[in-house]
Amino acid sequence: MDIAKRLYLYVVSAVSLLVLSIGLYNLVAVVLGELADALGASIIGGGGSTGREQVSLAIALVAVGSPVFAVHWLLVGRGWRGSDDTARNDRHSAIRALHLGLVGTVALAFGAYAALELLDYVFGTLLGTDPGGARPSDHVALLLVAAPVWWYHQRRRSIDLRHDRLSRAAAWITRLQRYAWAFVGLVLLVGGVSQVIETLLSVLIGREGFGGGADWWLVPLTWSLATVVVGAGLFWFQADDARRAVSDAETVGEDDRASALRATYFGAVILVALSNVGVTVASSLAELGRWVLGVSDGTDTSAFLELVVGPPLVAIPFAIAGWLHWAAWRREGAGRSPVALAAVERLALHLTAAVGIIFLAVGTAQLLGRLFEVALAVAADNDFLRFELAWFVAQIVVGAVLWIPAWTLVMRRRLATPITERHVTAGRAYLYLAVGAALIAAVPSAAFSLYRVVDTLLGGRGVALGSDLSIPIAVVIVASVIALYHARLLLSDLRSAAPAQPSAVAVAGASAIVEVAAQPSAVVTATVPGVSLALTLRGPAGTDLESVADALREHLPPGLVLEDH
Amino acid sequence: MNEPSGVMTAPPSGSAAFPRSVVLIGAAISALVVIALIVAVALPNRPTEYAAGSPEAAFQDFYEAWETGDIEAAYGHFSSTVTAEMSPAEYRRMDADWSWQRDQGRRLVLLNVDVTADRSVLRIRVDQFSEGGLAGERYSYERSVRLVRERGTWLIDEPLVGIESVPYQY
Repeated sequence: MDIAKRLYLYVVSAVSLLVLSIGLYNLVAVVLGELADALGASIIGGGGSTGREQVSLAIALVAVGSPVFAVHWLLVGRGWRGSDDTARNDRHSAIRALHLGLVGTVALAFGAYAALELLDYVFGTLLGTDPGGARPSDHVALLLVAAPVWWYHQRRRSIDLRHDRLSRAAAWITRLQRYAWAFVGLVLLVGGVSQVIETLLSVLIGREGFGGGADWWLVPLTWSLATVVVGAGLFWFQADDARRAVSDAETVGEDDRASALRATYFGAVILVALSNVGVTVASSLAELGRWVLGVSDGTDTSAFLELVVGPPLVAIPFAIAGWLHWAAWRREGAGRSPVALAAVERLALHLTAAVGIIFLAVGTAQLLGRLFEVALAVAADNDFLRFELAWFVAQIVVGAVLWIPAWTLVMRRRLATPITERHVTAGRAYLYLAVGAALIAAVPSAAFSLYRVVDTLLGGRGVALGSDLSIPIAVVIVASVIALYHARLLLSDLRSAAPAQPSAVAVAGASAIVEVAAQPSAVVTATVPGVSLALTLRGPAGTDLESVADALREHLPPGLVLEDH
Repeated sequence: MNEPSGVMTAPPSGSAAFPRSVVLIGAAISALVVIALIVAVALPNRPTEYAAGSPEAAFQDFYEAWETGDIEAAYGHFSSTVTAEMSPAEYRRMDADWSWQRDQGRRLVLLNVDVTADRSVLRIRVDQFSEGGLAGERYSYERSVRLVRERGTWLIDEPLVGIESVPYQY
């Protein structure tokens, strides 16, 4: 099947499936809604032709959508069934992967939304909240249509993966869908648990608006419980899918644990967990500081519990999720190879250092700015200043607790194994990020400061420079220190990179296959037994190396595998 | 997972023959269409009959009058407080501006009635369907209607056009 035909078939299939699904949703919604109204509703006005209009439109959509979809999907099926090259190419195509991934994702999004609304209604009914104008039959209908569509496309892709040793876009689009939905599910789950804890603690300590018989908080509580259940379901399914992909590595043809998307997923979870816990702990520390300084918003025990004790408790689900992911990721790396374990630890350390330095930089710049204002007598030393200083110092404390240990370990690793640690992507990315972000912060602040100075020298508006320039100058100072420190390391690494290539590479002419290293299989793919040989394929600019690699794969003897890394 | 990794010799699923699953899905969709037709045509889902003199019956009479375009009759269901603020001519102008409600294919479902002495509040769910877009638009929302009893008759105590409460000063 050529690309144009494949594109046509999959696009028309997707659009006609959308039309068919909307028609089916309306049909089911009308049937359930009419039955519910006929069985128990008290109709006080209107109603006669409402259901008929909807049924008419729904039947029209189904009548148009189903034959178009059926014909095109049968043609698609003829394309990918079989063992010839045409069928194989179709199953390997990025268009097919995109179609299955996109349709599955849209269906899952609608299904998750319907499940959230439905569970919110169920929990609300159980807890006795007012459901308002909600119509659960609509959500049941949406779920009944979206779930089979998602299930079919998910299952179809799962079979493809295990049969065809997919690679490149066909593989990573599927993987992207898996890990993106796992992340969404985890965020819903952890965020929901955090919200439940916050609501229940607020009720327990009698937070303002939560006591005295008020029960409005049951409404957000039911929504939080719904997000917990839906998030848990999404996360469990995707995590189980990932687990099966890892255990089926030999059948699938590649080790999911070595994929960049899996590492990105773990990194994103750790980043979100660190950021959330950092912000809440900083907020709690700031309130503690205000309490000590006597400038807190509340003075009673309830306020202390709400402002100082509460935030860390609410952040516990994020801390647990981050820790569990870190432990699982580290255990997985250790199970693969020392190299993989080092990569996991390296990435986690750099992520921690990145979060820490952001807290440090923001807190220090704000603190310096306020201190300049006090020194220049443009800000009074009053309660509001102390109120703010508590927040700035809290950010610095959290930043220091994160950055100093993480960066100390990074520097130790750089000293112990400089050739590796000074040239790896994670370390290089961290340094570029630190220098780039610092410059982006410093440049506008420096330009503004210079503008105000020049404007004043030229007799511009006579506003006090101290109040205008305190914060920008503080930003320039902090950003410059960060940029200089990291730029020095970055330049040193770049200078050392040229003569120290990872290994002795013998390039034979303009296009050659070069052996880099021969090593035990455990380093590359733990699940595929036997030995392995890491190779680098080089060629002139413009060469389609992927096609060459595919051609090589075609000629491999039985039992041998050529993998992308 | 039909076979171990390596050479592919068989299709990933099923045979290439006419798929039975398509027939089954088609039959299920056809059955759903028939059920939907039966439900839409056979189920009455007409307005409930309420006891004469009840707040529900008062609102139902008002809504039926408004729905059929009998503005004078609808105006007759308003309380003295409302009629003092709004003349029949003003109400007619308001109705002209809000008459689009008649095209919305609405169904009003009574959720509950709260009666306190001579006042009552009806909580009503409005199920609405309007054409437009690929699938039309269906959604539900809630409205409350206030009534007051004057000389033994329940009357609507807010300027209502259809189910929407409209500000005075027309």
